[in-house]
Amino acid sequence: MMQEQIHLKLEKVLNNIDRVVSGKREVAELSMVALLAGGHVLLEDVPGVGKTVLVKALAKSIGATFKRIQFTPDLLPSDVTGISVFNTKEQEFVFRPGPIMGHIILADEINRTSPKTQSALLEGMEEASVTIDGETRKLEQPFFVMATQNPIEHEGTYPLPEAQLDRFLLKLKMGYPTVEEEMEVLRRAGSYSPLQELQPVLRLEELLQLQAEVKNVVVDDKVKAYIIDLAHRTRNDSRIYLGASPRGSIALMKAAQAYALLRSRDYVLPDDIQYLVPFVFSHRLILQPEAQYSAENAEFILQDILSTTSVPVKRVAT
Amino acid sequence: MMPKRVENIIQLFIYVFSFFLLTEWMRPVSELTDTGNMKVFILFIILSLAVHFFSLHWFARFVVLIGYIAVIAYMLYDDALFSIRELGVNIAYVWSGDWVLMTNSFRTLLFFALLWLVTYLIHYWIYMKSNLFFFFSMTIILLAVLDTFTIYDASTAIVRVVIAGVMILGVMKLVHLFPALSLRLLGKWSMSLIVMVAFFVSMGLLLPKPGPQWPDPIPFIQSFSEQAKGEDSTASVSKVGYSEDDSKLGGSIEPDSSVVFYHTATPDYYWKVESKNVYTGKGWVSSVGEGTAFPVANGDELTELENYEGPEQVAAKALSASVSIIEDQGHILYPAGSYLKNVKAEGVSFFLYEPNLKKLTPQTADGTLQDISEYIVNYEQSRYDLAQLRKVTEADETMDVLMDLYTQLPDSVPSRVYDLARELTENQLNWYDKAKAVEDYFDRSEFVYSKEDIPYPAKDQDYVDQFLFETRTGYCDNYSTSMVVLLRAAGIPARWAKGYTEGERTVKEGEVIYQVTNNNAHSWVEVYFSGIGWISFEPTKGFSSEPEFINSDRTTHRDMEHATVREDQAETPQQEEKNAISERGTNGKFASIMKPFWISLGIVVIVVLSLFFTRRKWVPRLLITRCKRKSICFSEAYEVLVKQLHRAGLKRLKGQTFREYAAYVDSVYDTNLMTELTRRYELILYRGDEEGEAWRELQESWETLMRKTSS
Repeated sequence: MMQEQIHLKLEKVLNNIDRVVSGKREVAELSMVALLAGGHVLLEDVPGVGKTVLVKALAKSIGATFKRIQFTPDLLPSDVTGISVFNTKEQEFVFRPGPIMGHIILADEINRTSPKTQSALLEGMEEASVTIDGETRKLEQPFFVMATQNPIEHEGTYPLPEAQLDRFLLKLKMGYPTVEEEMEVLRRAGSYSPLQELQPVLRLEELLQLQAEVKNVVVDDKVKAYIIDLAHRTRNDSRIYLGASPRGSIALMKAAQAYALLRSRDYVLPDDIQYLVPFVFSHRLILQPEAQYSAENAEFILQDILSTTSVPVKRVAT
Repeated sequence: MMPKRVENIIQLFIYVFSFFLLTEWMRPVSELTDTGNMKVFILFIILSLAVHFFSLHWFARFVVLIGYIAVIAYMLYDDALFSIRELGVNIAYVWSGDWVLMTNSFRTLLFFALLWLVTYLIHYWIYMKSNLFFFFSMTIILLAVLDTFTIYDASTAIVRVVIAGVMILGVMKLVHLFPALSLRLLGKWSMSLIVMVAFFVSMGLLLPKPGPQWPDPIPFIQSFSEQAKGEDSTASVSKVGYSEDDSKLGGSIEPDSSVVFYHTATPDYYWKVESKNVYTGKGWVSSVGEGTAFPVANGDELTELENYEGPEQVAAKALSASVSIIEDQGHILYPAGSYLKNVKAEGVSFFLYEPNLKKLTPQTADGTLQDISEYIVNYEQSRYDLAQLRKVTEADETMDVLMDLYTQLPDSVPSRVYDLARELTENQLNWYDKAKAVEDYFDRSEFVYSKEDIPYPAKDQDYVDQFLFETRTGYCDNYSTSMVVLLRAAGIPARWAKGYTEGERTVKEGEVIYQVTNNNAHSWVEVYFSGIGWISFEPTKGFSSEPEFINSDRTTHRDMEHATVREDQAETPQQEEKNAISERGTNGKFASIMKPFWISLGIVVIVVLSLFFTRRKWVPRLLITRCKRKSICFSEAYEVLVKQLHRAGLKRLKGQTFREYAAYVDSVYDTNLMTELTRRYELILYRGDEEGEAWRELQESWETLMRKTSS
């Protein structure tokens, strides 16, 4: 596919989402990046800011099946993956697929359920397959999980362990809409929902093709070195207890490739890296207690690291 | 683009305030020169700004302005104004440099032409180029210079200039910020501008203002320039040495170690040539009040030469010394503070004695100056009785004439000199202690001995006052003159003696010989004590010479010892001074060798520094030509550009990507060239693209941007 075509198609998807969720262009773009890079998104925000609508719009725009799992403390792993039910008529077990057997899955309030159930979902995310009754079942492609987590309520929650947070490519925040955007939201809420008549603008095959295309985006060695440099700095920073893992570096590179493609480029710029670092790294870091108690947060420290790390601008001497 | 009307208003605004700035140039012209009819010229400025404002055709402008000049000329000089002949004559004057001969009408014409030029420049720089800086800063410099050096008082003019300047700057900034400007915004802006300017101007007027932080530079500059045009043809730095003319003291002196004479006089004596007694406020001249010159035969007793009266008060010892002159200056040098008995020289018929100068000159029989190379002086070593000296507390009746002559002071001596004299002497009872108190005053640490960077006094400044209260740095002339003036102000008769210090002691063939060079030229003070005579005092810092004293109040033996001890003590600083002088001598030689070196080094440093500070201007041009000549690849050129931008003050931050940097550069220069170049560079850098035709395609953008860095 030509660059322009790719750009055009992705632009259509984003416009589609925009029609439903006003003013969330950036979140939509980053979700798109995660989708293209084959990663998953953790949305950390309060309820009611349009997370579900966003994901639904995305799913509709690419003609994918959309499943939603509302996590509750009593949810069992089989409620996620599916279960074999004994059919008395046929005298055999019949597999009834769970909600994970879809393309785009909204895992709402993932921290409300038990670690056991969480791990069922996380295994699926990592391996792109689930094991039910000893039988491994491949998940459909594309497979994209958008998990949400409420940062306010901690009562009765099972916070995701760091190792599992690592499995999300990006952590995003929706944020509240501006006054104008909220006005638009109210205007739309009064009339019909545009979500209903959203038409797919990208076929699934095309999406898979795009995902393959992402892997062809050039990441120069200098840029790779820059990624590694940044990751190293998170590991050596005195304010950070646990830095970004090599998986974090890989995630950053993949996300940057996808983002470059979104920007209709077939090569990655340090600008892409700089833009994506907060989204890719912030949930992978554990800060030192001192840093936590002071006003610093991961985003702040990452910005600090970015501004002090020299950008690769020199050509390699030939 | 902004509407035509707004543009016109802004243009009018800028013109009006530029006009105000220009009138600040005209005001001093009418005040300081004999230029009359200033209204005519002001009107001309308005007219020529108006023709720019209405952007008339160049021919129409020409007609309007020439017409105006013609009408004015007709009104002012009513005869047929610029006849070809007159023009020719005037141009001839211009060529030959006889500018004072030019006729008034021609000057008027030239002035019109100048104004025309200036209004065009205002139109071009301020309005077209939006560059006020030069005109504004030149206006301020002009006012500062005029206010400082002329009678023109620019204290209100500077306020007007600042108001006009800030108003123009404000409007220019507005245009810069909002290229598409509406009338409403202009109105709002100018209202707030007026309020702001009014606020700050009134604040500035109301706030207390500290006095000048630097001493007034004018006396220094004027003394410098007076010196430069100097009637006595002395350069700003004269060489140390003996000079007859002391009417204008001051200025720095350079060492000169050429030998003047050798002598054998012991103990260490200063060698006197003459003394002067009329102080003019700038220096010394001799009076004519003490009788005319008379001859004294070679070898005859010099009884008329008064060095002390009443030999009974002075214990004396007869001594003799031979003098060998190297640099003949036509006068006899004799040991100061001694009683000179006679002078013997071969080939000299007689000596002419000038009582007002106490100066001896060797003469031939027919009364012309005789060259002299060697002579012998016989003298008596004076030794003064301190007890007797201390008895002198006031002038006695026999000293009327002498008091008139030796307490003379010009009216130019300010009252603070008298105050200081009174302050120093009021606690002392006798003249000797008073003189000592004044002498000791110069030992204070605020007085510094130096021959360098000594200014001349300003036009209406007293030489002594300048030294005592301003510079406090100087050499013997400053110290001795100041002491004489202070003593005179305290009512003690004193005069200014000139000559040489004793020189450098060497032993030649078993004989002690003193070598006296120009570096030894010196001046000191002589004070008159009634019944005793003239006694030397040495106020100059670092020098010491005292006549021998005894004190009859105590036993003679102990006094002698005391006196010897004193002499021994005096020896040390003297010796040091001698060393210092000889050192200075060698330094002088060294300096004269090193001078061209220092000058060329200075020039090199200045050139290097100016090249360094103007590098923003010339480096881009150099790089452009170099990069064009060489077959350079695009990325190299890009890197050169980034370096140049760095030099121009646009620095890329550490964590800043090229894309962000390009956006920043473009916002500064108001282009999109840097982004264009950066896109291409990114492809090469991050995608691994080949250079290809990049340099050829983007050379123009690169060059434009390079040029912008130097603007």
